[in-house]
Parts: sequence; C-alpha cells; structure tokens
Amino acid sequence: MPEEKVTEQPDSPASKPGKSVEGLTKKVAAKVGKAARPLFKKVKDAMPGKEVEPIEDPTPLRPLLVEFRDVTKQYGNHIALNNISIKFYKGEFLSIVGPSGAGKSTLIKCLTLQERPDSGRIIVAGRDITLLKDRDLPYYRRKVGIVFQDFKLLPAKTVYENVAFALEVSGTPGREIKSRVEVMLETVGMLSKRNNFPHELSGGEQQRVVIARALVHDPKILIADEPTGNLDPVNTWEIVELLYKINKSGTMVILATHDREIVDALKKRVVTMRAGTVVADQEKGVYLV
Amino acid sequence: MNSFLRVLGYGVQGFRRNLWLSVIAIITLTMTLLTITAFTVGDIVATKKYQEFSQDKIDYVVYIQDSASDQDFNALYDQIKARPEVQTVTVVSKSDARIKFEQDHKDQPVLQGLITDDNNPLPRSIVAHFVDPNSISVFNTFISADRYKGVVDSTSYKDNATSIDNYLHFTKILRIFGLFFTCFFVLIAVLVVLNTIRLAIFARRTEIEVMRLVGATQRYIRGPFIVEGILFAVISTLISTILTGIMLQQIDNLVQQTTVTGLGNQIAQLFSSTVRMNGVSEVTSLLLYLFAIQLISGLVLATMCSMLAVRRYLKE
Ligand SMILES: Nc1ncnc2c1ncn2[C@@H]1O[C@H](COP(=O)(O)OP(=O)(O)OP(=O)(O)O)[C@@H](O)[C@H]1O
Ligand SMILES: [Mg+2]
Repeated sequence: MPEEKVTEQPDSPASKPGKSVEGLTKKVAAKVGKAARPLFKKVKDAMPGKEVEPIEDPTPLRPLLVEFRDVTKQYGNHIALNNISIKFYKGEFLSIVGPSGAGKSTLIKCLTLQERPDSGRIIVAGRDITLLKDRDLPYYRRKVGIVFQDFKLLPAKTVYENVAFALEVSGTPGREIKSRVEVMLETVGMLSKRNNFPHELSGGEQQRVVIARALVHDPKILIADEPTGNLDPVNTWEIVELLYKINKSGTMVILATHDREIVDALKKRVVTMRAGTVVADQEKGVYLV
Repeated sequence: MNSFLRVLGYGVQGFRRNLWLSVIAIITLTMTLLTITAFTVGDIVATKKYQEFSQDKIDYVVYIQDSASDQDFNALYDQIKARPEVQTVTVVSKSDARIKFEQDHKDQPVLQGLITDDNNPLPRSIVAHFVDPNSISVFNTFISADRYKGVVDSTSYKDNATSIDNYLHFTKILRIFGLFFTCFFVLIAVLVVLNTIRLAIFARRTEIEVMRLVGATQRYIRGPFIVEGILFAVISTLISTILTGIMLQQIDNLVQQTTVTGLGNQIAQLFSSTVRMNGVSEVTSLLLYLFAIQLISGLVLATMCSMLAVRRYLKE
C-alpha cells in the first residue's frame, strides 16, 4: 500500500522519477564519499572490545546488524526489559508494537544508549555497545539516526541549521555540510522551507526535518520511536512513506508504534512486546495485540 | 579549527537568540562587578588614608638635650639607624628647627626673629620613620632605656600614643569587617549569577539533549555556553567600567572644587588621596586597574558558572 501512495503524490519532490531516494543517496555518496568513509572508520575504531562472534545465523542471506542478547533493564523494582534476545538484520524494516508500558521505548533507548541495560549484551555491527565508555558515545551516536515523537527540533535554529547541526558536531567541513544538508532536505521535501523556524512548520513538516537530521550522517540504522504519535492521519502516512522509501534505499528502519493501520499496511517484520518480553515475531506481520 | 569557529559562532548565536536571558545575565553580572568594585575602591581609600595618617602621625621624634655632646648625638643616630623597624632617619639641627618654627608661625610677625641662631632654645631632634606603625611601641621601649637618659630630652610618642593605638585598633576592626562584607556580598553575587546562568541553560536543556543524541562531544556542547559566558563577562565589564569611570570623574570634580560643603566636602575629603596624587589626577590609572579587576572577576565568574550549570546536563 505505501508504494501506491507514492504514485498518488506526484508533486512530492522525493517521488519524482529519477529523484528516488536511492538515486539521491547515491548522489550524496558520490559528493561526500571521500570524507564520509574515514569518518566511519574512526567510529569503528573508537568502539572498544573484541568483535563479538555471532551465534548461528538462521538466515545467512541477510547479514546480522543488531543483536540483543539476554538484555534486562530495570527501573527500580519495575522490570522494563525482561531477558530479551532478538536479532535485527541489515536493511530490514522492523516494527515494534505492543501496549503502553510494554518496553518499546526502553528497548530503543538501550539501543541508542540513552539508557544502559542492567545485564546482557547489545551487539551492533559486531561490537558490544554496552562496553562503550561515555566518552565514546558521541562517535557511536553518529552512526545511528534517531527520530522522536516530540521532534526535538531546536526552536532557535532554522530548518537548514537544525539539519546542518548534526553534521557540524562531527567536524564536517562547511562546503560538504551544505551539499549534504541540501540533498537531505530535498529528499524529505523540505528544501523550500530551509529558512523557516520550526514553529512556522506543521507537525508533519517538522517530523520530516527530524528525519533529515537523523539521516544526514548517512547512518546504517534509523530508529523512530512513535514518529507519528503527534501527527494527523495525512501527515502520518506521508511520514510512513518517507520511512518506507528510506528503507528501500538500504537503511535499516526500526519503528516503534501504536498504530495498527501502519503496521498492517507495511507487511514487514513485526515484533510484538508485552510486559518487557517479546511475545511474537512475525515475518510479514500484522498488529496482534 | 572548523569546530573552534563553529563553537564561537554558536556562542554568539545563542547569545543573540536568547537575548532576554542574556540581558538578565548581563544585568546581574554587572551588579556583581560593581559590588566587587565598590569594595575594591573602599579598600584603596582605606589604604590611602592609612598611609596619609602614617606620614602625619607615625613619625617618631626624639628631641636631644642641648647638653648632649655631638659624639653622643652621633652614637644615638647610628643606633637608631641600625634598628630593624626603622625605615629612614632624618636629623633636624637647631637651625633647621628655628627655620621650621618661623615657617609654622609665618602669619604672626611678633614671633619672627624672636629666635636667633645665637639664642635658640629649640632642641635638635632625630626623626624616625617606620614601615609598620605597630613597631612604634617596640621602638619606644628601646629609646626609653636608662642609658639614653642623659641624651634624650623628650619624645613625640607621649603626645600621640593614645591616638596611634586607637587608630591601629580601629583600622584592624575596619579591615576585618571589610573583608567579611566583601566575602558575604561576593558570595551572594556568585549565587545570583550562577542561578541566572542556570536558568538560561535550563531553558535550553532540550538543545543539549539533542546535541548529545546527534553525537556532539562534551567539549563541543560546553563550548558555546562558555563563549556566551565570556560575552556576558566582557559586556558587563564594559558597562561597569563606564559607570565606574563616570563616578570617579564626578568625585574628582568634587575634589578639585574648593567651594564644596557638606556631604560633597566629606566625599572629597575621603577620596582626595585616592583620585589625586600631588595634584595630578589618578582617575585613568585607577580606572584601568579597576577594569582589570572587573574583567578578571567577570570572566572567572561567568565561565565557572556556565561550566557548573551545563555540567548536570552532560551526564549520560
Ligand atoms: N525513566 C523511567 N523510570 C522509571 N520507570 C520507567 C522509566 N522509563 C520507563 N519506565 C517504565 O518502564 C516500562 C516500560 O516503559 P516504556 O517507555 O519502554 O514503554 P512503551 O512500550 O514505550 O510504552 P508507550 O507505548 O506508552 O510508549 C513502563 O512501565 C514505564 O513506566
Ligand atoms: Mg514509548
């Protein structure tokens, strides 16, 4: 269904022929390729610890990218994640669903290391990220893109500055920032509003900017916790389409959501959580709870 | 270099775009700097007054009996000069004393020519100057020893003893209180500045959170806030230096006018030795000194408060 939606919206710049997300990403890569690669190498080098060898992989065709191994997280006496083990693969579009309080956000926060698990390992690209020191976190975070329900755009910065900001913190040269940010804003259809401030945008537009900010690093993983939670149905679908296209261009997308319609329409892998455990994991899933 | 310029730019941008909080922070910091300045000036005035007093009263004059031989006189002179508490020694001969007497009574013609070198009842004297007024009593004990009875006629100490003691006591208490109040006010000022900057940073905690989540290092996050702190400090220093300069100029005008009375006169009396030295205005050099103090305390205060305030948001 999302693919049909794309064709229904011919004036969305990202959906014009020849300007597919894939094409754009290649363009970005071609423009910035030389600088982007050493950056990634630096990030990998900054991760301490031995490479963690994977246990048997049932689907060798899809390389393992993220693995939770016996991860437990408690808040006081409340167990938010109860001994979770789960694997995410490269290029996957993954929905995490479940009732409120099931632990979806906690799982995501452990992956971004906003929270540290009490026990277990979280292995990303072969490295155990729970071993990262606080001072290594900035380098790890530059490899994942994060999208929030409440946007978290900086109110005092323009659309352009909000996206550029994510590259500036890693010391990217100015000219490269300009081209990357412009391409990214075009991808999400926000280039024409580059000089607007967040309060001048609709919720859906703001979320597009957030997605541009999350992707401008060219991360391998895009993590979105209820990105449509504050949006009306029309905007919701536009954002979902955008995520879908981003996924098609090769980026793994992890989407935590309450929205049954989205999950059922995507026909992608669905992980259902309840009370801190995974209760179902369907390949082409639907919303169960 | 890239990052340094960016941090600098973001500092300036943060300052401009949070103008209201910046203005409040600058007002608070300016008031703090003016408080510190007031106490510094108070200390300078007290020190100058103290020096003035030392020069007037703290000279110790030893009058020599006319019957004493030149040999005894010279021996005593050498011994006084050898005392560790004595800084300099001057000798006033009988004719020096006569000249001084005539000068002191210039406007009384009757007294002129009354004393001649041949008929001069005024004694010779040795005048000792001290660095530390507290050593006067030590020197007095030394000079009162029996072996000088035949040489020393009298001393100036007897006349001044009580007033010197009172003054020393008074200045000691004044300094302790001054220090106490300075510490007290500076502490309050620091708390106010810290709180203002904390408020300014609290308003931007989301910004810090987002910076962390897009992979900014701690140094990169802290940088702009420190730049803003430096801006606060520089602007506050300029304002308080200008205000201080205006105040000092007003006081200097008062000191220069001879006709002022009442409160103006009291202020002029108090500051006369601070803003003028030998009739030349000291305002510029004093202001430069105060500017340096304001700039240093402003920078230290603002950057320290910025670092303290931002620290809690940097924790993972
Ligand atoms: N910082 C915290 N301190 C204490 N308890 C917390 C904290 N964060 C989450 N929890 C608890 O952990 C459990 C899981 O929370 P989590 O936010 O992961 O749920 P969720 O699945 O994302 O829910 P929702 O769909 O409402 O977002 C909840 O019971 C919540 O109350
Ligand atoms: Mg949640």
